[in-house]
Amino acid sequence: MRRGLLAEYESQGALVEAAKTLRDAGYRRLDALTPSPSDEVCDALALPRSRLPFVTGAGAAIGGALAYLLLWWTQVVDYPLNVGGRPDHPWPAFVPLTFETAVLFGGVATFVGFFVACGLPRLWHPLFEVDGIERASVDRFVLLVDAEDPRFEATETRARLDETAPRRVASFGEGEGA
Amino acid sequence: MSHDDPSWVPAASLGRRSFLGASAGTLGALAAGCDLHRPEELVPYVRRPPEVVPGVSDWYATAALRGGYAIGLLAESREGRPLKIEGHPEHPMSRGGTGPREQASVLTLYDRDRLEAPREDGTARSWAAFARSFGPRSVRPFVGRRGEGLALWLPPSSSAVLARRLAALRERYPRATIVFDPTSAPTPRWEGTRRAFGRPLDVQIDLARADRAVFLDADALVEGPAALALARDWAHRRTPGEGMLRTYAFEGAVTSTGVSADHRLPTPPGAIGRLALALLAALRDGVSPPEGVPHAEAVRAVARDLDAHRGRSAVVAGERQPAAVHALAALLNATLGNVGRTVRYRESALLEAASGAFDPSRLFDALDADAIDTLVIADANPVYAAPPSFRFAERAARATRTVACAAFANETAASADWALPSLHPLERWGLHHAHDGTPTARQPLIEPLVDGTTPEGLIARLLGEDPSPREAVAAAVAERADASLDEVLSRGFFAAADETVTPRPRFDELPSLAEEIAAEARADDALALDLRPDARVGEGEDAENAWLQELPEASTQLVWDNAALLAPAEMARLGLRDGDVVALALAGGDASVRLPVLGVTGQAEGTVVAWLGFGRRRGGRVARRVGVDVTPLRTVTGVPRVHLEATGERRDLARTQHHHRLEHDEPIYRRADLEAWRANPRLAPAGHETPPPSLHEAPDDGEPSDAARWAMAIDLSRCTGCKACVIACQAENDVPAVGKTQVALGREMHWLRIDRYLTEGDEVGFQPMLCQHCEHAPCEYVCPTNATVHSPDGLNVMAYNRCVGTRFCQNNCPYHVRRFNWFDYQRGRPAREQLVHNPDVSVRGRGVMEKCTFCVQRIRRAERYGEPGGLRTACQQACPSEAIAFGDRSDPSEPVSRWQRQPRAYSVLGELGTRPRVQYLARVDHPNPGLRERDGER
Amino acid sequence: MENAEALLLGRPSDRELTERFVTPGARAGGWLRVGLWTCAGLTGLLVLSIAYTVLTGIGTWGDRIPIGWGFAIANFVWWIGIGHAGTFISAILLLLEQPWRSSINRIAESMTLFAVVQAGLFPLLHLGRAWFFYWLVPYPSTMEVWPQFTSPLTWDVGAITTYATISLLFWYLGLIPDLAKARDTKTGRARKVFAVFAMGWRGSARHARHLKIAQLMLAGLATPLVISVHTIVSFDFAVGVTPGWHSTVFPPYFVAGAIFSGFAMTLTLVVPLRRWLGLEAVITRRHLDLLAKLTLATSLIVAYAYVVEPFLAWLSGAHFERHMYLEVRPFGPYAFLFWLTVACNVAVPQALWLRRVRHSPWVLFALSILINVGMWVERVMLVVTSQHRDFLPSSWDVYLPSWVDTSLFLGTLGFFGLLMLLTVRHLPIIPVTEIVEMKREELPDGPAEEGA
Repeated sequence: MRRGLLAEYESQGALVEAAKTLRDAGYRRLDALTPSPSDEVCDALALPRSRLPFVTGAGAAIGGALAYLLLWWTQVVDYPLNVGGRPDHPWPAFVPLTFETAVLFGGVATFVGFFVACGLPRLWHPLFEVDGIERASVDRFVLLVDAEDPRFEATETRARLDETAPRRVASFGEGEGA
Repeated sequence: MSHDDPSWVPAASLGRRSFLGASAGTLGALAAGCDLHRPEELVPYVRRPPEVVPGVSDWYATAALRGGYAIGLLAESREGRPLKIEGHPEHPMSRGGTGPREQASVLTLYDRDRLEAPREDGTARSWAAFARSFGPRSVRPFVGRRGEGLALWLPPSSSAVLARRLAALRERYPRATIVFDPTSAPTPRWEGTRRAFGRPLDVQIDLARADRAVFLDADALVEGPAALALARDWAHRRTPGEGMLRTYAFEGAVTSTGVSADHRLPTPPGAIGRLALALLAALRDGVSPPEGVPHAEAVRAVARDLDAHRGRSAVVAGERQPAAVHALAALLNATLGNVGRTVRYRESALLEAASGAFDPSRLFDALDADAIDTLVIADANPVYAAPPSFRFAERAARATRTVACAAFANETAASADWALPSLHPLERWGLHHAHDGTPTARQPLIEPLVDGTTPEGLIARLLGEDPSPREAVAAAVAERADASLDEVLSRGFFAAADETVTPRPRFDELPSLAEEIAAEARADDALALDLRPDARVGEGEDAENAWLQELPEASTQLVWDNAALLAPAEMARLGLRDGDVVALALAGGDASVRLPVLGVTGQAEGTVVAWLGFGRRRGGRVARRVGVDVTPLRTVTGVPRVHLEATGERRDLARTQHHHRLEHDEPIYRRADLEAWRANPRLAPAGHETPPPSLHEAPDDGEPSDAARWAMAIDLSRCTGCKACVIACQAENDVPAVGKTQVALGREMHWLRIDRYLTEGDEVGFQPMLCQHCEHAPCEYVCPTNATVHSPDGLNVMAYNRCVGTRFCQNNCPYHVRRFNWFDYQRGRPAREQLVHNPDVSVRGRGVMEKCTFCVQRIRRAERYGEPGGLRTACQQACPSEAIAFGDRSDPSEPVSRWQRQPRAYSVLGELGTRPRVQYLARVDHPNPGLRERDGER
Repeated sequence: MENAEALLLGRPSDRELTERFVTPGARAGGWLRVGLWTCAGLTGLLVLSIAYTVLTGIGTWGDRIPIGWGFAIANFVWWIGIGHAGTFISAILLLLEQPWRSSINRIAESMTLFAVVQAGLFPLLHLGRAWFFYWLVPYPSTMEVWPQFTSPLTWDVGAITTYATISLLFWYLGLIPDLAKARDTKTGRARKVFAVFAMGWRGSARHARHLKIAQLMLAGLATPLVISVHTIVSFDFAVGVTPGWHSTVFPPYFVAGAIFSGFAMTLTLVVPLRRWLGLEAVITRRHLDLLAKLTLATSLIVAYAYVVEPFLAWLSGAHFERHMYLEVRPFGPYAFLFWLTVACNVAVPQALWLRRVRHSPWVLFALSILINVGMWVERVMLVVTSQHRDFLPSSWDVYLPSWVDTSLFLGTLGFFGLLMLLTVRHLPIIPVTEIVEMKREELPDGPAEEGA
């Protein structure tokens, strides 16, 4: 999210509470910054499940298929040779490489998929302009409300956040209003 | 302009500047629009001699010498350079077979250290300079003194040309002293026959007609001028069944002949005489048997066996046995009525045989009296090889000037005033005589690589003549043959009249012989020393040949060294281990040498065996500092006796095989007695020969039905372990010699090796081992780069260029016949030495695997052009005993198919399911039932 | 006496945890500098011996006919095996939701990564013509020949590449949040560098969800992978006909041995690092205790393999099998290797039954060293004894390594140490993020206050 409001809390519990209240108030485009990943927080924000598993699966499938195809074509079709009197299509010998390639492709796909899904790498982000934001990765818990959220209205949202007893409420992103 | 443009052909050979000029001119010419394609302007790239077709070999008949006797050869020449030596199929003393030393001789031809030009006191001089000091003018004093003070030292020779030259020399210089080296001549045999028959004779054994043969310390199947023919006859009588030959060997050392015999009885060389006398006593009335006969029981059995085969047996005495033993052998043959049947006698083919010329004492007296001012030594190295009793070096130094004609700067050449290059056999003309008297022509294969001469040529110079060697040969041929010179040269030999004689035996000699024999039986604690010329380097003549130096010795698999061989029991008694250095001292003499010991199972106790020809001090870079010189222990005749004591030192010995016992009960080497074989012709223990079931349904060999199926069969009954095949393979396939340290690391490169096994009863068996060309080759499916695969005609082929050197194929080869280029073994050879490489075989670089190819280059050549004399692998062609059959197995009429169909054919490690294309025929012996009961298969 | 059951000592606040442990190596003492220089020296030796081998030839090694593979391949198997414990800890224990893995998994994963680097060297070096290694990879070439894919060596290429890649990705994914933490607690150039490698991670819950799933997926891939890799390595031997290699026991046997040696190596690394970097609070005796138990378990599997191999050989009735397992290995020229293996890998680990042993770090360290030695000796024993006396007695020989073989091995030890120490010095070797997460899940939430 490019701009919006943030509220900073002392504990994860407080963050979770605040998140719940805003959701009840109909806010949908919420996010949080926490020192460590937390399912509790994710549930409170009701984030959608990640679809990375499908990426992994697809990668693995493609990798495996390509591998076996290559093995079969090079050994059986393009340049068959009598090697130790082996049969023309020694499929058992193709299993290991097929498997390895499947894993390789699956892994790389997952890795790449992760960065795409997160929109990373992204060395600059409006949030980094907020001073003291570093502590979000140490011992502060930050709730983010996106300015794009349909229910977002600068003053009203700020008021709502104030009700959740944060250490502070600040806005981030370009065109900061008072 | 394109490279198709012929006008570029000359331009290509121009320098940059002239090239620019030329092209400028061409451009100009183009502008002028004239035609560049004028044929007369083209320069032929090569000018080819009419008789030479590039890439196609010519074969010439020539000859090699063994102790002066000729052996007919065929030499392969490619683009004018000799490449490969083969036996002459029609020559009676070769019959197509060769020995390792004949095979290896091409390597010496190209050796970088050969003497290139005459040297005076070590400095190179011209022949003109030599002529100035030795030309007619300077030899005039001889003329005046009718040859007084001129002496020649020559090797034993059967050269007709030399005979003529010597005649001329004697005519001009009647008082010149001419000596033939007695130590390398069969003097004991001549003396023995002289005593048995009244005249010195050569002995010819005919095993084709004999049913029983007794070898008295004679390595007759491998050693000597008649060995090749003998081995061939022996082999043909080894086919199991009726009419099998039976051979007995009494010997101290473990020789190929003994190993190949049906009975081998270890006997110290000093006891052979008594044994022979005992045999005679058992066969002839009125002869009293001597005391202390070894194997008395066996001797009686052998005598009975011989008695039952009178006229169809042969008794052979060994080269180094004293005259008395040769005499007894002759009398035994006479008693048995073998003379004229299985044993024939003839005047020796060697010049002046048994004459005074073989007695050096006159020369030595003259030298001691300072009466010799010119001593000429040709093609001999007495300074190194002569027995110490000759005091040769010291005496030669007393001559005013010495001239040595030698191939290398050996000990004699180094100590001589003049050293003259001697030509290699393949550079020589000549007409020599084989052991059976067959006149055998020798023609050069190549223009001499060095500015050298021969004994014949040297004598001509002494006579102030310089005739062409070809003319000399022509004259010698004209004397003997009615055929034209060209016919003789192209065939290589011509038949001589049968000169065999039937001498009358003199049994009245027996008492004095018996006395000598009795005198031989000393009861001191000394050991009998069996000092034998090395089967590989002779008496040092071939010490410069790396192939021979790296050829594993038959009884020890030792390379690049010699050693004192002892019976293991003896070593245990003396507390010695392999490699311990001992001092050998002549009993009653002061001579002593220090050399490492090796235990040889089966050697006679009380015997030390050592090989001559090592420990060379001067010569080429290969010859020097290899092994130990044992000539100080050498005696002129008889069996020297030595004392042995440990020194506490050790010496590393490089051997290509460390385990000789079959330590798991796997029938890798199969042998049986005739009876056992008759009972169980397959000789296969239960559960063998049936390849295990395979998971996948592979075609029987995965080859197209119309393709050839190359296969080999090796008859273990016939293999004598002479290792001619190993060198033949090395010469044919550019296999490098890698040196002692590499062999010690187990990195010898031989594609074909002769494994040596101790079978039941400590009997030795030889098993040639090479790539088995398995149909289901374990080496192939582990290669990650497809560098070794199967060819449609069933060869396990190796693509050197595709090999990355994982060595997995070697690990997975149950036979370990694959060889790896651990270093760049062929690097840095001078151009001349590279000429020995077979152009049909690629020279392998560092980091690639290699192995036997079944001589694929010969197979392909035969497929394209056809092979005169039929397609044969190098090893098969060299084998004197025809132990190897090779061919297309899909043709049932081929010998290989017939051999492989025999019940005694088996695959080594067949139960692994590798389905080798090489099969072995189990060895079947023909022992004397009366002599020893043996339990079936051994 | 500290609480032996705790996975985290004291009740450190998130801030304390982060600031103390995000890059513990930054505070490291002189020992690290000494270690770095020693390892750098050995790495130099490695470079020299590699250059010498490639320029001169494999002949500089002790390899010979019939022992075509000597130290090199033994080292390869050993190193690749060591990696396996890292993957086991980070992947398998993750799937099994073992919270204790958190504080040691970074060390273990780094170990994996760098062990694979060492392992990868040897298959390349042992080639007679190392400069043509790429012929094992399929690419259209003028030779128009493809690799021969029924050879286990081509499988190796696939397995090692995949294993190295997956390990790297896994390692890096886990590292990202900690790099962010480092970025946010550091200043100046360090901050900039970490900022770049953190790739702008800001701890967003949305990202975190993806991260956890990605890690789970990779773990799911790595688990069968780690089994397959050493299975394939074992195929290098099991596919051959050589007695002592040609055995269906090999895959499980190799995998167990690999993880066994890996745990030993983890102990070898963790015990001193824990002490020297003052990590006792996060790597507690409980961690060591659990590691020790796993080591014991795997050693028992290995022991079982040692028993079953000769038994099967005896059962098969094949001459060569029996000869190899019942005569050559226990009584042949290399018997001492065999018995040393048994002593180090079967006898020594039995000490781990004792709680007191499991709870005294330096005893564990000593044991782990012995086990490392034992496993390396086992690899050498497997490679050499099987080849030096197989079928034809005529080819039997003995193998002796050359100085190059030895310095190559020492060199890789040094190189491994170098990479390891550099990581310890500069990177978040303790996964603070995961520890914080664990703490929050294990301990009741609330404002951090001091106390036991």
